[in-house]
Amino acid sequence: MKEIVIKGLDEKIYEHETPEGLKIYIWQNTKLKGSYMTLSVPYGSIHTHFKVNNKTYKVPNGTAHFLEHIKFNVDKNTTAHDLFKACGGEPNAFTTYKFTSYIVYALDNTKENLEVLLDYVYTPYFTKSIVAKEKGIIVEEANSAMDDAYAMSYFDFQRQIFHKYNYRNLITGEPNDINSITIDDVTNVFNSFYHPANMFLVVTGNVNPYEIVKITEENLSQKEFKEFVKPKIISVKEEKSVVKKHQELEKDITAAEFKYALKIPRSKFKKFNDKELRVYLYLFNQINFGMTSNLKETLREKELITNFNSSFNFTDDYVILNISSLTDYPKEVEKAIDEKLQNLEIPEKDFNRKRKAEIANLILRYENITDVNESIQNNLIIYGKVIDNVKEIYENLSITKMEEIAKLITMENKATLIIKPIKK
Amino acid sequence: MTYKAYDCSSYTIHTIKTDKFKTCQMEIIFRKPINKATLPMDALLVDVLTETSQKYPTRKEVIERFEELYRTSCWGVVNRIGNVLLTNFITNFISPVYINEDDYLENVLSLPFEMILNPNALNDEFEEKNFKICQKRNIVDAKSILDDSFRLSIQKSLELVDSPTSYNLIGTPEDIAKITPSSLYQQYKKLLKENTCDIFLIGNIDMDEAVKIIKKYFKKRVINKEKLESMVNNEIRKKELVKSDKSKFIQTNLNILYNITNLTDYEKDIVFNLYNFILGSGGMISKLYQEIREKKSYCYEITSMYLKNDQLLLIHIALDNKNSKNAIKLTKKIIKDMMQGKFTIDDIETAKKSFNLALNLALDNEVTILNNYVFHVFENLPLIEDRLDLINKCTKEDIMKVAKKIKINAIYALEGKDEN
Repeated sequence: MKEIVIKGLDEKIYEHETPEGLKIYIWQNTKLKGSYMTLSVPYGSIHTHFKVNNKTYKVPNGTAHFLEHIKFNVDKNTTAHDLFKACGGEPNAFTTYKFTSYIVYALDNTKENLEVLLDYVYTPYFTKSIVAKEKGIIVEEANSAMDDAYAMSYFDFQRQIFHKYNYRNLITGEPNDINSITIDDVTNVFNSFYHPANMFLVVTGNVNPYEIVKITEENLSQKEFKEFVKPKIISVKEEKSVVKKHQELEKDITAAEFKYALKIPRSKFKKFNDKELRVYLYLFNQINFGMTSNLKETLREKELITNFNSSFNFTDDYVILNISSLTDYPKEVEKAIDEKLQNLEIPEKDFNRKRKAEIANLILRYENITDVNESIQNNLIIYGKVIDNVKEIYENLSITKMEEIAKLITMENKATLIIKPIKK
Repeated sequence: MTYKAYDCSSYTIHTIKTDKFKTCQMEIIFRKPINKATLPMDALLVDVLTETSQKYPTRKEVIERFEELYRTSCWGVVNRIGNVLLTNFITNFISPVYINEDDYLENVLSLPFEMILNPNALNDEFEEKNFKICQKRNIVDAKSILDDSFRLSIQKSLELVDSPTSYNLIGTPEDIAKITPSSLYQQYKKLLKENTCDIFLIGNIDMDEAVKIIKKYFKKRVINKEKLESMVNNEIRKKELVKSDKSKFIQTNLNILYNITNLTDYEKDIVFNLYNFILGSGGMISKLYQEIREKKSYCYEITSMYLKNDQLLLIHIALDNKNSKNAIKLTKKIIKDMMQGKFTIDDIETAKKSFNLALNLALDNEVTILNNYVFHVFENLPLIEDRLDLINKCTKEDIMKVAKKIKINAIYALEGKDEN
């Protein structure tokens, strides 16, 4: 078993690969009582078009999430919940744009809980009646999301920024997508992606790493897996432009909302490595649009905003600066953001204060079993490995490099959305 | 983990020393009997006090100070526990063990007192700009309930009982708009005078040193040790009240409200939680979930909420309106089945295991440990270790007994349009 030492933070993560190809990552903390285990597959809501052995598959939006739901059925009369009941584990699952994760919290009975997790995820049981029954439940889940006008305005804006990316669509799919999902769709996805060689197990908490590996290897050795053929996700070519530069919508809401985005090709940043770029853009955002930024303070002092949030999001080909604000003065807010972007500054005092606070807070990331587990999962999905030098990256940041990155944040592909309450 | 209480005359400091965590938390909790008329002011006050202060008069300066203290955070919140209003100022910070600065602990512990005792105010009025920003934010927040089908349906359901249970903590937009910088300042004076105060502190800290620092910065206090009774006695109806409203939403949000009567302390703190788990709060293995979601596919969201200090049980289902009647019928049947003992020893064992897991996981988090001490001190809730013992002793007869102590009060539906 390999030990990944997290440099400068006095932490380590154990890494091991089973003969079947399942990668296991373990963070041990004997001060805690519980453990958290996640078995994840890099298949999420955006992966609706893929190819295996020269055969192409196209599945409806929402298929990843649908499969996550029905995966809990073990046989006609048993669900995974029934199995976890016996060993006191608390199971759940979630689907994101990029991956699906099956999870269990456990106290003792680590062996039994881990075995149930591996057994039910790797044992398919899909029937037409299960698929039909689950549709009603998931349609209600989608309806619940669609009843949240502000959450839906997020998707309105995604559709304004992206021509083709599946980031435009709800993770659950909409009711018509859900109703169109068939048993063949979920079976094809399961057979193509749910193989140990394509998945990873992350265990955090009060566990013995060697025991986790032993239990997993013994369990998987009793299962039969076909030889894994890596599916190829068929990606779409997303245009550089935004779909619409400006849009105004009226909705039955109580507070007006303004959204602002810049769509910047990632190729512009190619001289920076991915992790470094993300850290720079995170700090850049904090300095220019965050709580202590002059922009936010000015908008607040002028009473132009009720709230104001910003972040950088990453797709395969683009970096998106996303800003969202509850405001009755969208034009003034837009003008202020434009002016800020044309006069970017990186004050040394702000840069150093924020960097110092971030470094101090890195140690806090290794405390909570859920947070550490999620952080490892995100590392694996984004970078394909656990990043062990975050502290070094923060320590080596330079203002000059940040200024260089700031110059690449340009406004050619800008989108704005104003959502006003319907006048009654 | 060591608990110690320090009586400081006008307030008590409760310390929980542990080296298990890298962060520490301090909560300064003011308590008083709830008063519907002043609630919007109480909610706005905590916002205004934590937004800026005399020493840090802009929000930017406040946040910069937090960052200088390694991203310490300090915020305020009001909560209702039955008849009692809690105004809570929370500070979360890195343990001094990890910070090599002599005055770090004094700097972080003094920060909330700077905000509470030296507000951004002059001549008995809060500074107008910050006041207006907070006031507008609360007005927007108060209006936003109309955009949230769950919050709106719960508020409307609780309004069917005429008691503190139904009080809207933030107030209406109109109530908030009437508050002025000077009327809010008068309410601020009452915060310091008319509330009891307790401070809870958890973390890897020299607690004697911490207490010295708190005493140094928190002197101006009036002694108030009023005994507060939190339980709300909601009236029991002879016949259930049925009410519905049309809404703009797709889904119907259905809430069924039950009174809970005459629970003993053991039933209140232990048994009813197990009953509620088996009935509806136990997620995917609860009776409501199994019968209404899994067997009938009527809904995605279904849960039951035990409002302990209001002596109420609230069942919430979000579903297609056409399934409402059947869902009500099924819910009533499940409640009746529970009264008749139609649940198994296996169900009870599952509930016990789940609580065992949840309570032990609570010991892995400093905030939940602190909150357990808060309720232990305020409400006599047994400590986690004692609760685990009591849970394990609970029998089927105990659960059947509390199952018979509930009575339907009201059914409320916020009806959806069912566009699909």
